Formats: sequence, C-alpha cells, structure tokens
Amino acid sequence: MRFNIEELEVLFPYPSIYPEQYAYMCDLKRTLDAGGHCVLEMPSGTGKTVSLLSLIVAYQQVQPEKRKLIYCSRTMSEIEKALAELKALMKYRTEQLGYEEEFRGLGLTSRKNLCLHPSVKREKSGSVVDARCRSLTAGFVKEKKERGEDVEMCVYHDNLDLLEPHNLIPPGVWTFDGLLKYGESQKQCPYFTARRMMPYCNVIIYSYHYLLDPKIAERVSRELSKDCIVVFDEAHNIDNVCIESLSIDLTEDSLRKATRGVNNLDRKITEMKSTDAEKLQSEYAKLVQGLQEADEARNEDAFMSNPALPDDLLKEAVPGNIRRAEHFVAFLKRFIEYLKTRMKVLHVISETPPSFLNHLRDLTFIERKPLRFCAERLTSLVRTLELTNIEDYQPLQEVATFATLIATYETGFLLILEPFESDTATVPNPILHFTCLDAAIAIKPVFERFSSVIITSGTMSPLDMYPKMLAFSTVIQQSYTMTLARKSFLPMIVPRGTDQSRITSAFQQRNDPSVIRNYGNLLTEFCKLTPDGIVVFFPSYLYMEGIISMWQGMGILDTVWKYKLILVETPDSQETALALETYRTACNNGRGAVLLCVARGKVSEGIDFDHHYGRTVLCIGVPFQYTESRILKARLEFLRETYRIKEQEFLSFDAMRHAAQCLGRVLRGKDDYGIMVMADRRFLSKRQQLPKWIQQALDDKYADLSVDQAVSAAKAFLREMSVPWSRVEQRGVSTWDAEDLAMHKAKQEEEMIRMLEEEAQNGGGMVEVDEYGGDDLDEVMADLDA
Amino acid sequence: MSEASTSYKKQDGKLLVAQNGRTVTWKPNAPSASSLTIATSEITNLQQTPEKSAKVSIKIVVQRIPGTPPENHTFSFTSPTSARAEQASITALLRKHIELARASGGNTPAPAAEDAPRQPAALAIAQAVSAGARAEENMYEDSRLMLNTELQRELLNARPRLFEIFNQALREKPDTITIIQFSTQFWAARVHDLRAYAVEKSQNQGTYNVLSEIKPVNVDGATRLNISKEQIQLIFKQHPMVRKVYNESVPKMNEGDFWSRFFGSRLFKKLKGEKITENDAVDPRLDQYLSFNEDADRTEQFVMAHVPHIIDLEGNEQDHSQRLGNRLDWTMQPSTNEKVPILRVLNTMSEKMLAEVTPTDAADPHAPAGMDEETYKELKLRDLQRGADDNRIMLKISDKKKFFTGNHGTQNSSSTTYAKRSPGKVLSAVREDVRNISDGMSSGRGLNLETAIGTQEDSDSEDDEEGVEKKARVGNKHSRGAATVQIMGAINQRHLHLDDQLLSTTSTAEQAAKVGLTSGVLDTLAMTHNTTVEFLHYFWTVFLSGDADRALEAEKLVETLAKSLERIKAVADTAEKERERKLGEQKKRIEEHLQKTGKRRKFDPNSIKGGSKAVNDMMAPITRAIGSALQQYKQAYEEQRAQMSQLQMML
Repeated sequence: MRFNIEELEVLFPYPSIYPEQYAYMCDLKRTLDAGGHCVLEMPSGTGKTVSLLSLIVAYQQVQPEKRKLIYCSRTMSEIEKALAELKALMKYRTEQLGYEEEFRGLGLTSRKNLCLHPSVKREKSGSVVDARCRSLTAGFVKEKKERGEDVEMCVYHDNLDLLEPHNLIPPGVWTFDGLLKYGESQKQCPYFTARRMMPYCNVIIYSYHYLLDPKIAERVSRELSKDCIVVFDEAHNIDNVCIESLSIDLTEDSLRKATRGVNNLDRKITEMKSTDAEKLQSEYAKLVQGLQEADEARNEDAFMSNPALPDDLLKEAVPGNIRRAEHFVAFLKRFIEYLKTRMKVLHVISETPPSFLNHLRDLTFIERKPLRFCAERLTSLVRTLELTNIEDYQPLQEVATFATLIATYETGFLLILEPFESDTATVPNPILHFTCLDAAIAIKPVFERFSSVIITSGTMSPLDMYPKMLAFSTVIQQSYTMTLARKSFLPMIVPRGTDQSRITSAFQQRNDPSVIRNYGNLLTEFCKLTPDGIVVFFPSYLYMEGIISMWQGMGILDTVWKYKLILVETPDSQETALALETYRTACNNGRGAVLLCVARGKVSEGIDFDHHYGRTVLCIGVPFQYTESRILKARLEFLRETYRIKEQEFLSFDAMRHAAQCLGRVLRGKDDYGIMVMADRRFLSKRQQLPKWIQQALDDKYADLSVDQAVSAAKAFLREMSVPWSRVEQRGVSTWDAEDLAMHKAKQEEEMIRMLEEEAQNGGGMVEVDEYGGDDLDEVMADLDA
Repeated sequence: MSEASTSYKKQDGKLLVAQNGRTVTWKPNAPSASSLTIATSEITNLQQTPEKSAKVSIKIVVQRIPGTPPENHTFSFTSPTSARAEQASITALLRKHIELARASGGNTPAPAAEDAPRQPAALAIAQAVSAGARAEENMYEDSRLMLNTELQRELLNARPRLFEIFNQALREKPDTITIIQFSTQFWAARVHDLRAYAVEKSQNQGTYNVLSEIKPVNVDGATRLNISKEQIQLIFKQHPMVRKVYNESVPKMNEGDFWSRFFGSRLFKKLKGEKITENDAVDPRLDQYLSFNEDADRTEQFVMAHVPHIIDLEGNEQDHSQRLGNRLDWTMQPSTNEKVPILRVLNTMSEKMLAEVTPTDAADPHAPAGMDEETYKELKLRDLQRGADDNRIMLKISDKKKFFTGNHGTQNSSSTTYAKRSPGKVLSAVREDVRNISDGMSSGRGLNLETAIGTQEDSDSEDDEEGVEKKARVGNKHSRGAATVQIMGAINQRHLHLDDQLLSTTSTAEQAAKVGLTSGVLDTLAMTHNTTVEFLHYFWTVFLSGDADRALEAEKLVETLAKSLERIKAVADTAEKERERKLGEQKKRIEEHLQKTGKRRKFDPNSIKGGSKAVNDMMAPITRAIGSALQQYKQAYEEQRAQMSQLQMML
C-alpha cells in the first residue's frame, strides 16, 4: 500500500499494515528529520525490518543527496533475511512506480561465507580462509606473477579486474545466495565484488562488527560518509559486541605459537637480507620518513589493521627502536618472554593497563610508545617480507593486537590473569584477559561520525539503559505495544512445580532432584500438549548438559521420546545446523520435535521459530550470567562507578533481555500464536523488566502458576487458538488497510487541531511544545505567535 | 518415442534414435549447422543429470577408435513441459539398444569402459540411475496410474461401493465396448481417486526410538523384560552395532540371555548416551564392543546437502573471522562430546527417525528459482498479505434464459407474482397500510402489530371463508399457513439431499423410509443411477469426440441409455407395486378397524408415500439428462443423415 507520512510517500509492500508499524515509521521519520539518534523497542515479529526499510528507502529516494543506509544486524542469517526483505521491497516499488529505480543493495559477510575458490572455501576456519585468500589475491602476488614467477592466484578475484570497477555487478538488491550464484555464473569473486561495490550502494547490510570492531571497520567502513543513516537492528546485545571488539585473551599456548611465529619471521628476515636486502632498506627508509602509508591500511589485502579506534591512533612516525626489522623482531621476542613469565604466577591478578606498563618498563625497558605501534609495524613487516602462509602468524598477530590495545587505552580496561580455569582445577591453565569494561568506547566513533543512528530491537527494556551504557543522547526513545484482536500469545510465569515446591535454576538449588524432576515434568507435559515444535532454552551450556543427563537417568527423556523427537544444540555448529534442519522437517511433517538450546547460544541468535516451528517456548531458569566471573565482576564495578548502574539492576536487565529475546523467537505476524513459559521462581520479581509488549499480555492470573495450572491454561489457550480465525476480524484493530489508516490520520489531525485550539485559548504559544508535537506543530506555533 | 527436442552446443535441434536402434542422430533446427550421428555400439557410457536438477540433459560418451580419448556429447532437453519424460524415454531406449549392441558382440569396445573412472565433469552429472527411482517420481502421473491395474484392483477391493458400481456398469455395458476401453473410461473419470489411494498407500508410519521404549519391569521381585520381535528388528535397524554383537554372540549364548545381559550392559548405556560409571556391571563379553567406532552404529541418516543461509549456524559463527574478545565464562563453554555423549546421541537418534523424510529446506540452491523466493516466503507476514486471490473462473453467461428452459414454472414463483403488479397500485396499498397504522397510533392505543399486518385472529374465522377477505393480505392465516408449508417442504428436501451427516450416519433403510421406499428399491435405484451416470459420461465423451470411427460406439451407447430409461421405469414399477401393496394393507387394516369398532376412519391415499412418483421425482434430473442426450444424438444423427443424403444426391 502507499501512504504518506507528513509529506513523505512511503511504499509499503503489503496491502495492510500493523498500527505499531505505522507508529514506528512515524518516529523513525522524526528522528531522521531531526538528525539525531533513537532507541526503539518494537515487539518481536511485527515486521520491524520491513518497516525500517520501507521508510528509509522512501526517505532516501526523495532526498537529492541520497543518504546511504548502513543496516547492521547480528548474524549472517539475519542479514540474509534483511536482504531478502529489501529485495522484495524494491520489487514492489518497481511494480508500483512503473519503473525501476537506480538502486543498489548489497550485504557483506566474511570471506569464508562468500568464497568460491574450490580449495579455499573448504577450509573450516574463517581466519584460515582469510589468510589463504590474501595469499592468492594480495597485490605483491600479482606483481610476482607479472614478473613471471610461478605463483598461484585466484581466478575469481582476477576476473574482477576485467570489469568496470564501479559496475562489478548489475544494479539491484543481491542476497548472499544471489551474489554467490551470480559469482559462480560469472566466475567472479562475490566477496570482493561486494567489498568494492560498497561505495556505490544505497543500502549496505552487514554485521555490527564491520562498524564497531576497529580491526575490520577500518578496512571496510572507512569511506562511508557522515550523512549515512546507521541502523543497529536486533541491537539488544550491542554493548557486548562493543566490548568484545576491544577485548582479547592470551593463553600459554598462543604465546608458544607466537614465539614460533616470531622465530619464523626472524628466519625470513635473514633470508631476505641475503637475497633482497634492498627491500628491507626501503621499508626502513619509509618508516623513517614517517610515511605511514595512509592507503595501506585501507588496502584490502593488508595483513591486519590496527585494533585501536581511528581517533586513538598516533599520527606520527614509527619509533626508532623498532624501525629496523631485526630490532622489531627482537622487541617482540622480549615482549613475549615477559608475558610468559607473567603467566607463571599462580594467583589471580587484576591490574590496570598503566600498572602493567610500568611493570613491563621496569623489567624489560619496553616503553609504551613502540608497543603502541606493534600492530602497524608487524603489518608493514609482513608486507615487506611478502609472506604468503600468514595463517601461521595469527598468534603473533594476537600478541601484537594485545600490545597495541594495552598501550593505547588506560581507562575502561582491565587486565585479569586467571591461572586456573575453574575454582576446583588444580592444573594451571593460565589465561590473560585484556578486557574492555566500557561499551561506550567502541561505539563512540559511530555516534560522532554519523548524524542518525537508530538502535532498535524487540527487547530493549528498560530503554534508558542503552543511552546510559553507550553514552549517547536520543531524540526519541519509544517502546511500542502490540495491538491484538485476539490474544495470540500466552506468557506465563511458572514458579512452582506440580508438588508446589519452588523451581529455580539458581546455582545452589539447581542440582536438587526435586527441582530437576519438576522441570522434567514441565517438559513432558508441554511436549504432550504442544503441536509440532517446542523450543526449550537453558541459562547455560553447563546447566543444559547437566540437566539433560539427569533427565535421561530419571527416564524423563524416554517419556518425551513418545511425543517428540529430541534435538539439542551442540558445540559443533554444523552438527547443530543439521539438528535444526531435522527439527524443522519434523515440525513440517507432523512428527513434532523439541529443541533444547542455550539462551545465549548460537541458536538463540538469529534463528526464528515462527508458526509451527515453535508453538511453545520454555525458558527454564532465568538466563543470568555467571556472577562469579571476574570479568563480569569488573564490569559491574565499572558500571556502578561510571554510569551509576547498580549491579543487581544490570544483572537482571541482562538476564531479562536474553529471556525476552528467547520468548520472542516464536512469534512472527499476528496470525501466529505461541505459548511462552518462564519457569523459575525468580521470574516473579522480574516481571517489570520484561518488554512492554510482553508485560501487557501477561495477565495477573497467569503470573504465578504451578506446572499443572500452566498446563491447563496452555491447553485452554490452544483450544481457543484452534477456533477458525479470519483476518477480517483483525481488520481495523490489529491490522489497518488503507481506509483504516486514513481514518487514523484524520483522527490524529483532529486531535492536533483540538489541542492547538486549547492551547491557543490557554494563552497562545506560552505552553511548551510537548513530545507529540513534531515539526508541523512547531510551524503552526510560530504562526500563532506571529 | 524416439525423438526429442534438445540443444547441443547451444543450438536447438532434434535428437533421434533410429528405428533399428543402431544410431543416434542429432539434427539441428537451423539448416546451417552440421548434424551429428553416433553409432550405438560405440557408446561407452551414458549419464544423465540428477532427477531433482532443473536442467535435464544426458551425456553420451563415445569411443570411436579404441585407445583414443573418448568424446563427450551433452544434449540438453529443451521441451518446456516434458523434458524429463522425453529424456527418460530416450535414455531407456538408448540403454536397451546399447545392451543389445553389447550382447551381440561385434565391434563392441571393451565393456570395462563402463567401470572406468569418471572424468571430473564440470557439470554435476550423476550416473544414470536405475529406472526404479524414476518410476517413483512419476508414480502419480495420470498415464501411469491408468496403466497400473494392480493399483486399480486394490482400490476396488478397498472400496466395495466402487467395486459394485464397476461391476454393474461392466455387466450392462454394450458389447461393442471392450473391457479395456471400458476400464480406461471408468478410471479416466476417477484418476484423482487412484492418485489419492496411491499416495495413501505410499505413506508409512515413522519409526520410534525403540531403546527408550523397552524397560525392564519388576514383577514379583524378579526383573522381567518384555520385548517383541518387531522391537528386536527395530533395534537392529536403528543400531547396526547391536546386530553385529548379536550375530557374534548368540549361537554361543542363549537368545533370552543375550537380551537380558544386553539391557543391563554398559554397551546399552553407551548406545543410549548415558555416562558409564564405575558402578555399572561389567560384562566381559559385551564390554569388548564398548570401544566401537561411532560410525559403525550409523545407519541411514537424515542428511542435508545444502545448509540454507537462514539456519546456517556455521556461517553465523564465521561471519566475523577476525573475532577475538574474551573467552566466555566456564558455564557457557560447551563440554566435549566425550563428557556428555547424550547430546549427540539424541540428535543422531532423531536424525535416524527422519532418515526417510525429505528435508524441508532441500530446495536446490542452484535451481532457477533458487533460495531467494523460498526464503522470502517464510519471511512474509502472512496476515498482512491480502487473502489468497480468488482463483475461481467466473462464467460469463451471455444468454441466461437458455439455461432455465427446462422448467419455467418452477422459477421463483414470487418473482412472477411481483412482476404482475403495477408499482402505482403497490405504492397506494402501502400508503394505505401506513395510514391505518398511524390511525391506530393516534387513537392512543399504540401500535397493534397484528392489525397492521392484517392478522386479527378474532376477526378471521376458523375457516377463513372465501369472500370475506378477498384481498390476500400478507399476514392472514392462509398465506401464513402456505408459507409454513413451503418453508418446511424446502427444509425437508434440503435435509434429505444435502445433509452429509444424515447420509453418513443414517442407514439406507432409514433414508428409504423417509421417501417411502423399501431399502431394496432404494439400493437398486442408487445403483441404476450410478451406472446411468457412468454411461452418460461415456456417451458424452464419445459423442463430443467427433470421431467418426466411434459413431458405432455412440449408437450402442444410445441404446444402452434407452435401456437405462427402461431400467428406471422398472424400478418405478416395482416401487409402485410396493406402494399398492402398502395401500392395500392399509385399506385392509381400515376395513378391519371398521368391522371391529364400527367407526370409519378417514383415509387419505396420499399419506402413503413412495411409489413410482417418488422414484420419478428422484430420477427426474437424470431422466432429463438422458432425454437431452438422446435428443442431441438424434438431432446430430438427423443432420448427418441429411448431409449424407445431400451428398448422395450431389453424386
């Protein structure tokens, strides 16, 4: 349908629209007009992505400057889905407008996911694919080839050079599948096609990392202009992504491998000295002149880019003591040896970066400044040596990353050395964590650089947590409720078992056989009553493994087998993908299945269980983080001191956003229905922290049930849902067609006029414009004044 | 068929297999290009694209001179509708001839060529598969179903009613129609039934996880194990490992002993994915199998050739290859399979259960439609979508009258009544009524509805004498009575004809009683009706085919139809006789009553329903249909005769 939001005509690829979608689009437009940031919480499954894309594309197309949209999502699956939606939207626009707009939309993911090279694509690890790809596509390899040396190259990559650089792929929207297919048919590399076409795209869809993680953002997202519209979708977990992108772990094993790497490097330098000493000399000369090749970092084949954020980079020459290749290698060796000795300590150490640097200087005379250049210097060296098998140098790269980060950042970071894996372990297996505590650091450049950043998800409550944690201000913060013509989902809190004893996944009680039996009972009962698919989320892997083993021992799983196939998320993602496919097939074929997975695991992110793929979701236990984790403790302390967020407040916020995320997985559209069970006594007190749209649907009578009460409530609900239901009953209530929308608008206008009149009576423009005003109101008010 | 449209080296043409099967020839459609001829005897290998692939092509590997590298010729079948079928028939034909050529020896190249390692073909061309697999794919095609006499027989056996119709029609068919013709005709109208039956037959119940079902029961202190033969077979099927252990142990061990030891063993625990503890009983015989390779227990498993992006967890994990970050805390780190074998066991068990099911997301990513569409379909918000488009075909009727010529009289009787009225009169009548009403109102009594519509009970006498009220008012007693009768009649009729539930729950005897026939007569009637419909169906196919050769057939069928009329009449006669008998009985009873009590009872012969009238009422539509068929035939026959005589005159 086509409609106007103020003066903007929006083409929406469905004949009707949900009221909340319309409200969402209005708020989005206000944000874009005002040129600020916003936080929007939109109920899961109400078509957030399509609303976002419809509005922003409409906005883009009418504006002369054609602001680019950078749409960031969590996982590749979600990116692919967004691309598919965009593609359908553009198809609809073409049909409606009668002509095809000049438009490009592309997604980007890792080389591993986009590679077509017959042998490289078979590598299991993404970083190995990266390394091997570089060894086939780097500039120096091409030079070698031109010199007549026998080097292997990638034909898919080379074919790109034969094409016009700004038109590697025809305009339009390309999903990953489409891109791969096109690449295969044209024998051109999909990864580089997408990378190189980024500047010509109207919409780019990729994962957060490409904007937040300096290690790749620098290379991929550097040239994006300031007026880009940035969207972080499914952003409820964005703070963790920010933190992750500036944190790193070192283990004894990685240090050992780094030593091997540095020795290799040493050998290569000696070799080169005897064969091609000139090259090393010229590198040295360049470094002396401080010609930090600005374009080198941008170069797509660079070994690694600086792990620090662009503003924190030193714009000066590499310090003298690491300019010579052999000096740098010696420097690295010394640093690694120092780290090794630190790892020998058998008690936990936690210290700030300055303290670490002081100790380092005292012991090894390594200064902060050269350390800061480590990453850059290593890149330059690897390039000079023309190394091809760079995957061997990955641990060394990690050490260099660590060095650069620790020498760059002082506050908001902490160094934690844990000699033992767990409290009970006796054999040391030390890990050195360099952990970022402040999520605002990594995202700061994004807020500074782009005028409109939209942060949105199905679960963002409480909304003000995000501006607080990420240190930014918003134009609009809004949470939408879900308009429903019938109660299509049933959230329930189940704090008691059938025997009335409390059930909980709290650490002290989780191995209590009565709790386990009650949870087992809950599972079997819901497997009995739920048609098709049922998804169960556990708070952690450890807990899931434990409880499944116990259930097997108690014979609970034997009962479940009678009703459903059982599938489990396992550490191996390929295996889990197959399990997922089995699950989906069983749901389709009527066999029915139950999927057991972890609330923060890989299934909980980006995989939907809509319609019959998930009629019930059981949240067994509150998905709290492991509170004894030292990293978490450090972060909690930091949050309290810096942002005045209380520990308990953050912990339950964090647990509830994951729980809500799991619950939301089962809904897509308003014709879908599902049961949401929160089984833990601790949910009782967390009710207020659920997103508004779940809270609203959670009746008091369902807020404190025992297992058998929940079972009968669920049965009644399913019976109700089995009553034939047509979309006619939804019309005007939970879906609007063009007429309903026009009516709504007319009503709004009336309301506005009435308000204005009232205000005029109350004394003209003296009243402050309230938040419902918007631009139009401002104008009218100005008129009144005049 | 030995000819198919194909493209070879990107040129369109025809692929022909010679009548004698010696050669295969490809002729281009464009005369400029050169054609290609291959001797069947020189073909060393034949390959085709996999069944599911969108592209249909065959590759013929030819070795013209032994010792030289073989030549490959790939032909893509281009027919938009029947490429797969054409390919199948060409391949089958070729295979037959190749085998013949080989068997006859002669200049056959070494047969070893078949086993020669296949070249790494750029195209994913699978070895031509056995005809069996292909048969399955086309199993539901009309032509196949029609030829499948086995299936037809089974269906007839499964549905006695259908069997009866079939037999009856077979008995009464005109002699000119052969049994084959008849059965083709019969099944052509029931292909959907055949298909449904074939689908129904091909569905099997899935298996269950047998190990989870078997539990030792404690009976009177002793542990007992109940295990059926089917369960043992299922165990063997699901766990090839157990079959192996069984094979190697049982002659030495007593069978019952084996099973009781097995269910208490560590091996059993391992198969179920449970952790083996120190306390578990040691069984030297069975424990030696504990270290078996997991793959040894693999059986047919659910497999997926391609992971769609929407559930590609590996791809999600690899989305950011330079990911570093801190390690997750230990509760979030998954243990290895050795520590918790149960997880994998659960998955593999489920996968075994679904081994025979096609994966949901099996769509070939290289198919022309690709994944994009499919992916998007899942994403669509279905309730925002407009309801499915109305796909009914609207009939545009230009001359509607023609369709109601059959019975003008029964056309909406009220509409004819209204058609006779003049608007002016009606209006004045209405005005009158309104005035009456308002008069009543003004008198302060309020509105008397009964007066308003003219049904004043007190004013109308019991018998509604004629002349007292000449104008038939809407609400008077008579018209109300008539309306009730009409409505009740309509409801009864509908009820009889349309109420499925009635039809399914009540016996034929009850139904028969409702129309006043005996169930025997009703059954005969139904049977006559069925066969008549069958013959009508046949008649129209033949008649409308316009095939001159079938004229004789049509003639015979007309006779049969005429006979059908007679048959209906015969049934009607029987029914009439029955009715008369009933009537007689009734009269006799009344007589008896009269003699006993001296009172004469009122008797209305119309109260005995049934008889020829009921039969004729029920059969009216079909009689009309036969009449129309006969008439049309006659007309056509006359026309043709006239034409013929004209022709003869001209000659």
